[in-house]
Amino acid sequence: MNDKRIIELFFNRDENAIREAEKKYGDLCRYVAGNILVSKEDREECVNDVMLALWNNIPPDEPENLRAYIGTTARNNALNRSRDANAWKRGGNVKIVGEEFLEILDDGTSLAEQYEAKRAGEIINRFLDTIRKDDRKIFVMRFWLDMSIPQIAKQTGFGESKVKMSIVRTRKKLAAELEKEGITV
Amino acid sequence: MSTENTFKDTRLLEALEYLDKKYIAEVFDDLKVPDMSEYVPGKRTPRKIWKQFAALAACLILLSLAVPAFNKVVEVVSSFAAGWGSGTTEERSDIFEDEQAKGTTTEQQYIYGAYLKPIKNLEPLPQGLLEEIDSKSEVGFSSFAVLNKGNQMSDRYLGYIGGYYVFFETSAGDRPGYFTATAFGELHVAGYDFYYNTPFSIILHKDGVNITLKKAYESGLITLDDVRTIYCRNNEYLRYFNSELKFKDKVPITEDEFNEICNAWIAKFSENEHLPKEFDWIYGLEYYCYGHVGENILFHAWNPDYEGTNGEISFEIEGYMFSEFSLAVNIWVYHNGEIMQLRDAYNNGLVASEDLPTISYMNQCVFGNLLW
Repeated sequence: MNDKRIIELFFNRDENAIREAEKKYGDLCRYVAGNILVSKEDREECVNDVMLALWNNIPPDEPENLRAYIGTTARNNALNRSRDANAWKRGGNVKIVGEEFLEILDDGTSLAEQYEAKRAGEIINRFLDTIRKDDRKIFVMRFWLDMSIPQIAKQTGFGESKVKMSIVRTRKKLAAELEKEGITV
Repeated sequence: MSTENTFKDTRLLEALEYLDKKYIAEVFDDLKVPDMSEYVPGKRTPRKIWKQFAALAACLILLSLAVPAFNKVVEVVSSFAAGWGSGTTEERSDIFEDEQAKGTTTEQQYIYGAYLKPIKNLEPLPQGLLEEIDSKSEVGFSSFAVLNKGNQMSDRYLGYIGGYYVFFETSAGDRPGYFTATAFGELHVAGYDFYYNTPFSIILHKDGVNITLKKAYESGLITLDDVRTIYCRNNEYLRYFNSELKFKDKVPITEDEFNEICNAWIAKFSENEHLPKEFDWIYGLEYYCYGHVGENILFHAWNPDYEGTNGEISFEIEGYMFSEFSLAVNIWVYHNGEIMQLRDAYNNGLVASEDLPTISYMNQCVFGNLLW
């Protein structure tokens, strides 16, 4: 079933919408959540949560890109689950998401007080606009979706060393960009 | 991760929440989703269970075949170990009974050789030091103690640098030569990126106390030059184990210098509206720095997308050989905010004759690895 039809089902409050969405995008949710949540049960619960969220949010939401919308919902849900499960500490059934990304800003103690997440987000967006599409996709896969190097290599068709290189370079450039904007790195 | 960092890091992750949807969509549009059914509890079909049995049976058969082969390898390695250091390449290769390995410098031979003595001419370790290290674990070593007993550390010795005996720690068990490219351990110190198997750290030992490289540098116990030396030696290990890690051959430059080079490069080409068509490849460049020579930074720029489609051309300056890919000028000199080709820099007197051997050596080393 195409995405437009699935969205229509949601708008018509037809419960088949959930079944169709799960059928088409269930594995996407599991794949995305699998980068963040280690336990199978958590991943399955995440899929259920995503379907419930779709039911609750469409309408009023009318996603232009249902695949990205569901993927984003899955990622956010998985992230919230990991946070709930004491995500920012090592151990347990969760991983530290984006840990590698954080290393670039790992000095100084007064940074947190100065930092405005939204402003940094805007800088990151501007920065991403300036780099090559391949590098950008690798960056998003690595730091937003928390995918592993082998996973990214498989997705992009590049060698692992090239992926690694791209990540290191992009990270350095981003650090420079943030510094330029007055965010100490 | 310390509690102190938690708030800061959380804020940074919040920044990623503002990621533009178009970049997210860009990824999802092309994302290839594998069959995830095996991850779903209770959803396994009999066919999949049968597949697992088949895989298990195959493993058992392979194992039964592999054990005698493994014993043979152990035998060969042992005899090779005994002969290492005293024989020529040809003599060493004779130890291998495999006809394919005879007379050739195979990667396998490199690995065994590197395992036994990866870096030649290191400063000698004082007698009893490894036992002493084994008995004390104030800092470092304790983290992977099981895998890094003192009696194994001689294979992980990087030298006596800045007044410290330097070792690396890794998870490779009793085979430090075994390197898995899929599992990187990273360490970032003074702008240099150290890599090895994960987990990975570098430990400095002095007077019965161990300290991590990062702490030693940040505390001013060792200099930037010391860090560079350790970096190069760590990379010497890497070079043996993975030909994919070609970038490890670059000589480190500081992040500021790297940025300066990038800016100069952009100034020279990228923003030039008359940029020739053939220079489109500039946007995909990778840099391998040969190091500082006088007031210059010599570097190699190349486009990995051309790998395999590019021929080699060589030229000489004062009898020293330099190689480049035929589709591009690879050897560049950065000087005072500008970038120029090696030959131009030499003709302008910016590169001295006595520096040519070093540049040529690095060029051949980097170029050779790019061709690998």
